Amino acid sequence: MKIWSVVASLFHLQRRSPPSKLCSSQFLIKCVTTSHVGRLQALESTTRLMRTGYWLTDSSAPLLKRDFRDVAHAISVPVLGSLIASMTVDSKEVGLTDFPRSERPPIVIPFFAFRVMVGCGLLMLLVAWGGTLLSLKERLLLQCALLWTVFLCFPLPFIATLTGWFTAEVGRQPWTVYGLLRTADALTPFLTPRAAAGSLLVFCTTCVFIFAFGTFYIYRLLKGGPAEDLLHTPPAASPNRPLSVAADLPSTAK
Amino acid sequence: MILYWSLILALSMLLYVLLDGFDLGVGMLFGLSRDETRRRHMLAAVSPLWDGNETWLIVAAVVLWGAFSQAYSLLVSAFYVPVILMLAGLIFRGVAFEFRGRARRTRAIWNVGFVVGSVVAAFMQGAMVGALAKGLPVVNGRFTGDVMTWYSSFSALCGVALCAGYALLGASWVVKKCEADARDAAYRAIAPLLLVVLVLLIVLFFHALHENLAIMHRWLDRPYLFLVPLIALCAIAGTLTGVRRRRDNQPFLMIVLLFICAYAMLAISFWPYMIPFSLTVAAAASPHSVLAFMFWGEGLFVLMLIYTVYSYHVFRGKVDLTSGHY
Repeated sequence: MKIWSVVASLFHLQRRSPPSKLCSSQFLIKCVTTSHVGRLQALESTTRLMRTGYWLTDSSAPLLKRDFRDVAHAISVPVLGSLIASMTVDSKEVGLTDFPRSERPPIVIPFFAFRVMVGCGLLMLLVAWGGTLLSLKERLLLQCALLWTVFLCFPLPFIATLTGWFTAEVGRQPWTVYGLLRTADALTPFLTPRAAAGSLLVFCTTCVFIFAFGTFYIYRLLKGGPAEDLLHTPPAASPNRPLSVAADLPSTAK
Repeated sequence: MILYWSLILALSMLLYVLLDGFDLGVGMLFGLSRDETRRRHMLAAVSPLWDGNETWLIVAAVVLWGAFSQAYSLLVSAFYVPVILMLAGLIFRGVAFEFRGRARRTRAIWNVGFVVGSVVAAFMQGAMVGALAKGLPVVNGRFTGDVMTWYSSFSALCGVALCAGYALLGASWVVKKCEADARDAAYRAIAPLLLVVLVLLIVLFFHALHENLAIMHRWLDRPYLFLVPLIALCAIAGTLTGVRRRRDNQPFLMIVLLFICAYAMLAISFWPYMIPFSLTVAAAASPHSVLAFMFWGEGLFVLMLIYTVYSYHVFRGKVDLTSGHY
């Protein structure tokens, strides 16, 4: 599945269509880095096991097992998991049971977070490709359904980023530095629960406040609907600053 | 190798103080002005540059983390509260840049966020330097204070002084980059701000004498340190003549010189300690193999220098409101 999307992305990159290029190339980078990290680490990081849900050790590891405990009933694509991790067809995937219980990360969060992330990625890819297809037929602005889908998709990148982050951070527990420093030992010695709770509160308040307003402004931007000049975004617009798009357009008067 | 990495760290911190200093300063001055056109000029003077400036904070932190991990663990533990608050402040002001132009009825929130974020970030930076100068309780390379050890009247005063210093730097930047109303207001602000900074520095000096801080003995041991205030005096004179003769570039350059003097003074009086009187630079440094390995990462540093110089070259001259998106 993933390899297929890599190939498809490569093909797609050559077509050089701007809106979907970004999405597919990010997906491509994600796949490539996954395989690179997999090769670099001598001992397979438990993170990757977690998010792919390998419970038992398995040679020629398959990809996409649906249930993380019941390997027998899992739907899987043979060999690809091994291929992505090490670029060979028969590398041994280390299962979670190879690690003692104390070395295992919490299982549920990374398992589902990873799937949500990939789901968001595929959905965005689908929308981008669908949009590209329609734009080739020059019917982009006429498709109400597509415009609504794009409109409703706007939280997806944010959700994907967050769940990806959960996958990485929860999945690497109980280690801060893998194999060297446990999270419990990495803690600042004099840190009181009150100070930690306070900093968490500051962090959460900041995030909620900013993202609530960000969502509101993006919602308003989208509610304004597509402007005439949609295909020629202003020169200052950049993917890092989504709000910079259409800053000068009349539909979003200041 | 240790000396090399200390120089890199010192340089990236200096660049951070100078570059982000002026945009934090502009953030504070922004709060003092009510006029919308003037405010938009001030924003336009920093908006293409501020995020590049803050990258130097990350560079400094990463160098500290990689090359001086001992100092990093000690400092980040000791400054848990101010670091969190500084980052929250930086986040708010960064977001304010993007959201302010979008907002209609909610614009006031981002005006406040921009100003308060700038003030909090600057204050926390000053307070951390103050706490360092005052000395942190360290036993066997481990911080032994609690989460509020950083706070004292001395460090708070340092925080206020740095706010005033950044505001001064910001005012001279506005003079350099803006025209008409915004520039004139900034010209008027420079002399009072300079006075405030000098008074605060004198108060700090006597405060340090009064508390008999160990760092003061450095001055008696190293009389050549008194050369630095002399250069600083010249810089002050240069600033004032620049203001009087309305030479738009001169105040900024002179105040940068003033900041370099203050920075050099701190650095020389700390040396060879990284955390005064408990951790030397040599003891804080990571093993040679780590420093040598990281050496190749320095291509990034050079790249960033080139990028910084280039972006300042692109955005040279006075700001033009018609092309901005803010």
